Amino acid sequence: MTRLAALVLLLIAAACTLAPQYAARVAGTDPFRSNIGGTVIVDGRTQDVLAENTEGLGLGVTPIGPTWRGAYLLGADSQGRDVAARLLYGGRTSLLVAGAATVLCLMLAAMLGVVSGFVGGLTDTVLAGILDLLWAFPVYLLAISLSIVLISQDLQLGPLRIAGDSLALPILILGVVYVPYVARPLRAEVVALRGTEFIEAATALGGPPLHILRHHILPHVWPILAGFAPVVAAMALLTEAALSVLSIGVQAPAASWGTLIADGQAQLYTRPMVAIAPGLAVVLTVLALNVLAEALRARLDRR
Amino acid sequence: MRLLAHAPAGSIDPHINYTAQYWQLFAMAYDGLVAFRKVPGDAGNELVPDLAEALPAPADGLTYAFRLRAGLRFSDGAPVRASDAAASLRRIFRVGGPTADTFYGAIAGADACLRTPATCTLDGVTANDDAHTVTIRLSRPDPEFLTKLALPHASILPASAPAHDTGTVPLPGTGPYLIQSYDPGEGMVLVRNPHFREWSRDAQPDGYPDRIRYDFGLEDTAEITAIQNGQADWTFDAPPADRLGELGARYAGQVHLNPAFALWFLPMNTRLPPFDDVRVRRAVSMAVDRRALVKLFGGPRMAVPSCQVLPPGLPGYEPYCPYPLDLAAARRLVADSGTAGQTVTLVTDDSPVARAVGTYLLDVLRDLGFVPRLRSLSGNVQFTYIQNTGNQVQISLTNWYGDYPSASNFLGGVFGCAAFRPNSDASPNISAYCDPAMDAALAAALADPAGAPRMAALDRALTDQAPAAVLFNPRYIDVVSARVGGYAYHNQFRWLIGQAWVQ
Repeated sequence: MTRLAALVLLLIAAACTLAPQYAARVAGTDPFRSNIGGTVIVDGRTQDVLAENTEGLGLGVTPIGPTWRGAYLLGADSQGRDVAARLLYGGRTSLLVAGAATVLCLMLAAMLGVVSGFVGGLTDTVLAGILDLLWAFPVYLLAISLSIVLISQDLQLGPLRIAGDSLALPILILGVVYVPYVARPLRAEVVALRGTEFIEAATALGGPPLHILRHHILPHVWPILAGFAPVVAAMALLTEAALSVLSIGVQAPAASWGTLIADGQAQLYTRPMVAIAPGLAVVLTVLALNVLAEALRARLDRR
Repeated sequence: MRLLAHAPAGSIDPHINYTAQYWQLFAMAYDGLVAFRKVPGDAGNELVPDLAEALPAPADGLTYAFRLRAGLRFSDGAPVRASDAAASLRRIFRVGGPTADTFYGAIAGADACLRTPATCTLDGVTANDDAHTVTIRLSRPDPEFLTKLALPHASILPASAPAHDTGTVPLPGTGPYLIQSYDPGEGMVLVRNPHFREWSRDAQPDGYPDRIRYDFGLEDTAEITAIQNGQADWTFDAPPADRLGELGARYAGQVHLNPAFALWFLPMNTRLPPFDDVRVRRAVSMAVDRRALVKLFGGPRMAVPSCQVLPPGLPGYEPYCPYPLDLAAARRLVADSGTAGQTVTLVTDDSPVARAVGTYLLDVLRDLGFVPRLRSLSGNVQFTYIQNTGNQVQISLTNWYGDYPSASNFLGGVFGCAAFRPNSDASPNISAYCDPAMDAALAAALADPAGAPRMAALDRALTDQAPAAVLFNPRYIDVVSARVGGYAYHNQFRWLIGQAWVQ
């Protein structure tokens, strides 16, 4: 099962990496450009990518459905863009955002959890208080609130300005909102380690704190962080998708699986594939990450 | 009869509510001194006396004398007196009505009422209960004053109506229906007004349904399914784009397409770069493929491409489009302006259509040489956000549905100096465009009974200045259940609900 999960992840990542090649050589379209008046040849017949309905009153426009070959393999979205090509490009964005947010989250959590647990005293009280405060907010509420504020006003961090449509924004938000989920168990682990005999012995022998931290604490922390990595990545992927469905995650013209689902919502009745394909991609990726997380936990569990 | 809407539309105080959704209901629950003729077609734009016996013709252009019909009663049984009419006009100011200034600011004494609503006496309005007369004196001529009196904001209510927004509490009216209950979380019920008797079929015809239930909360696609299944009779909301094909093909007899005095357009802030240069504004107008946009809106039956400010059907409308699709010429204009390479942020709301149009427009702006950004805001905040010049919005996507069938509602209401209020959330002149000469010409055209050609010239002049890129004129679509009969569409109040029946 673990190998299958790893293989699925690998295949998804590889396919997404090849998105530009797919778009250029197979789909033959620019997946970020509307193709409202475009045509495509299917089975020797030229078809409109967005076909005006002619039956009855002639209302509405229907995008071409899956051709199951080359161009428009999975059909077109409401703007005539190739769904398959956008799925791969969207995957690049989703995986990038989830991956970067996971790294950021683990770094921040490691810093806060280890410092809080190791230093103790007032520092621990303050840092643990901040983590508790963040923990108190439902994670989606916090993410949605931060996104709404930052997307409409941009984020100014000293001389650094992060634009509302920058991918850095969802990465930052997702990286921050999950910090307490990792930092609190880490802190608890460090507090427990601090009271163990080998740490007390190292302290009694006059070992400097940094030496103790580096050689006796951190080696116990890394496996925990590694175990958390796929879990946080899965949660970040889901949250990014949710924010993007609400139009407050990844911003156009960039595409992620979440924005693709949002695009497809308006076509569920006639072209469900536009929403189903990215939805399936999210499910598969999250499932694979969770299987990996379980395998990692079992492997790294010291008990 | 069961009606549906995804969401309620706020207060049911007719002096407060400013939505097409409830104006449609107010048209059969309340009356003014005058009314639009309640018939389909262009005849529906005509004014007829309603609670008043006749339309006044002020010799001086300032004094409007009305005599109330005899025997009128409110839905609570109280007689309608001239003093109720005067009190109602005062109440528009006392409750801080959203159009107190823009629609009724010409009444003598309005300035003082706008300054201190609580002590408003509105000296320009006098009433004589014995003679059943109401006289309204204006401080300045307003050729459209009678039209504004026909809108729900000038509904005649009992003088005892509280001087505040009554919110969910219905006020007595004079129409054939009264609002029996209203819960924004659930719905509304309208029943027959037991004190109504038809005094003018033109102004306020009696209705057919005995009881009208208006339920809120369903998603648009579920609303359409409910109508198809005969569980509901109509929805206020437009059907979702992916149901249009099915509706047109299988339910053609239940679908009604109607013209709307409306436009979808891209206001460009004429005081911010790069749109402070008219060449750039014209370039955008030239680079937009309006037929493509119509496709995104649901196809050519759902909207008609347009380049000009006035929609078809309004006085002064003459087809005019100086901006045929020409990307090369548009690029040259941008190059000449020296603005290529600038960052341009387009603000849209987050509805599927707006997002689709916005994404297409990013391509257009990129083709013109700009660095485009798209900001998609919730529909709840986008319209006020783009109006406020403090938000420094360069270009946005929005729409405008006329308050009443008049060219001035578009020429002046969207692009007049008075409609521009810096740093205000209520500044419908989103382009911040102000040309006092145009305002003066508009006032002169309004005062001229044969002013339609002058309106047409103003439309052309404004379109040439391109404070906005007009995209298309949408059409209204009504989907009714199979059991609805007698469907009639009114230009001002849309489907005349009370004039239809269910079998």
